[in-house]
Amino acid sequence: MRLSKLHLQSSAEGLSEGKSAVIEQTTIEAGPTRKKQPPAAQRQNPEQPMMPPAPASPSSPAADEVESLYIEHRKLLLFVACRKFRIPDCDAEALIQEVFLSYLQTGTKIDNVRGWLVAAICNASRHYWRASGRTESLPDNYNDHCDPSSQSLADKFATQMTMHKVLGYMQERCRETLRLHYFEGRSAVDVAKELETTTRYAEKLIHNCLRRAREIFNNISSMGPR
Amino acid sequence: MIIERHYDDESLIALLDSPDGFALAQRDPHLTSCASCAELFASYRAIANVLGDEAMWDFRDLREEPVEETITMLRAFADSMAREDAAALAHVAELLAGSRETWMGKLLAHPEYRTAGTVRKLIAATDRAIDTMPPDALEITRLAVEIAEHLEDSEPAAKLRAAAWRERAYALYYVGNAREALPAIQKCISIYDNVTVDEYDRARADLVEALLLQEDVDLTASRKLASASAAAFRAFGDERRNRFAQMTTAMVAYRAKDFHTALETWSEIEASVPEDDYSTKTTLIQNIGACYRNLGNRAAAIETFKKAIALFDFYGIRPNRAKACWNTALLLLEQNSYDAALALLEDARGDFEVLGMHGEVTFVSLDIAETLLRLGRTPEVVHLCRSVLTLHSEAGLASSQPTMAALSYITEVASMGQLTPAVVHTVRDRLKQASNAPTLLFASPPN
Repeated sequence: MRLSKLHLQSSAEGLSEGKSAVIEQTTIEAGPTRKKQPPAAQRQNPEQPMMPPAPASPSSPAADEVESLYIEHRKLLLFVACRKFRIPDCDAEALIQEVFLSYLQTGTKIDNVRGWLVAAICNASRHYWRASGRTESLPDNYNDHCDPSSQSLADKFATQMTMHKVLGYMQERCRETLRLHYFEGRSAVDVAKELETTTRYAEKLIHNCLRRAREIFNNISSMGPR
Repeated sequence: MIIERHYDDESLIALLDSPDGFALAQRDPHLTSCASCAELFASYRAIANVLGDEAMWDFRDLREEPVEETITMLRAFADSMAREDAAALAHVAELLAGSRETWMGKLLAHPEYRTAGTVRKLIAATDRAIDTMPPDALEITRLAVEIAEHLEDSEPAAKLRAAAWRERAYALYYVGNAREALPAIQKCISIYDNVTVDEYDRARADLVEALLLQEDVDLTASRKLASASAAAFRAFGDERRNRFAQMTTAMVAYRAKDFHTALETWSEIEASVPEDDYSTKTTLIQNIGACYRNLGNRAAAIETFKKAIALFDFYGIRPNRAKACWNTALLLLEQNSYDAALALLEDARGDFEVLGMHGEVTFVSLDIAETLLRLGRTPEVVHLCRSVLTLHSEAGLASSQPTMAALSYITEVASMGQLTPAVVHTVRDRLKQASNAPTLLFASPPN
């Protein structure tokens, strides 16, 4: 018979219950203030919201919300932009602003705000470099997307940020040992040469420093590996 | 008494540092059975991996304190949007009062409705309308596009314009007008090509295009777009839209007649959908039923469709309920249960007619015609075709020409006493082709 006749239910944008059901919320009385028309210029240019609010007008909950989101997530976004994508710190704040403006304009409910913001700053950072026509100084994995089988992109960057803080707490010699061994991939023999010590001591140093890093990590983060 | 010996940190770090440390760990009898040692090893491995990232070794001083100017700017932006949205609530309530035929006139008469806030609220309003009254949703998107197209140029206005076109494309697709939906989504994408747009918005547009292309049988492009949007949604942590994109890839598999893959994907997603996401859940149940049908498992298919009909009924999702009735009827026709099938087809037709889904009315009517012929009730076919012809001419649809030609042809052949189920079947297939390819003229079947 006619297989082509089946009518699949589609799956897309129209199903998003995250958006508010506007029609049902509207029982606003007609009043004099509503009838007063704004100046023509203001009506024709509604997409210019950069002007500060009038001094007397109370702040909206949306303004409070975006401020608290900015304060909560700024460090992580700054870390991703500057350390992961090597955006100059003088430009990073502009990208963060862009991300939050984009977030405000999304027009849909975002369930995982941190995940969304992190993906958006990655996106903005990549765009920054593309726009400058430069990609040569970027990390090899700068185009990475989230690997669904592993932890989320936001969790990964949050872990990295905590680890970065851990390194800041460590002694210079320990930090250098870890860098040589785990970042540069140098063997204990090479590390020994670099630090002008014995191989056996270098091995001990590598072990002790990694153990110490883990201890500090666990102390400052309840989310990290135990 | 056996004393259990655990690995100490030293041994685990040594194992980690050995060239094939991970492989050894996977084979190690103690590590594979001792959760605490395995966890400790995993934590050292995770830290070592993080230390291998270049970002760890950038010790530039960054200004970590929040920037006051940014806060002020973001607050001003949010306040401004909130004020616009508050005003738009009243505008939208006034605009959408009364029948949809009056809405555009009201918009033209009230320039004060033309704000970005109104566009946002109209876009939000389509979501609810699409489930309950698709033609309303379609008209709402027309209003949104009309306003968005005349907003003063700026990047936020362009993004909003693109969003309005995206919603328009989806609403057109939903009511079966794929012919106009494709240019609408292409318009949306062309706007995104000229603004700085994040991958999230782009993925939302791509997903709608993927849906349209699978209707248009460009399955390769559709699959590619759906997979890319799924990846973007995952990156942005949007599980719900990721599911929609996965559902679309299953639709592509279905169109390619890979019913096993489609069934597997839809079943997996259905199991993971939260219970309160009834819209997605019922949609998936319906699609799973379609797979069973094509895999020849009629009993499971009928059972699944019945479940879907009951759920759509319960939640008042009439368009989907009608489609589920239609699918069940097709199954019953395969089992030669013509009377039961006819009742369901009539039920679906009634719903589609009330919902203003004229494209669906035509096709379900052709199925009714075929069923009536099998039941020997030929005179009713003529009456049926005339009623659909009247419906189309009253609606004044631009896309009705092939339909009118098809139905006129059937009416003529029926009045000559030469109409058979095979003729109706052929006309239906040709009409389906014509509706997907607007440049393809409707041609009468050779017999």
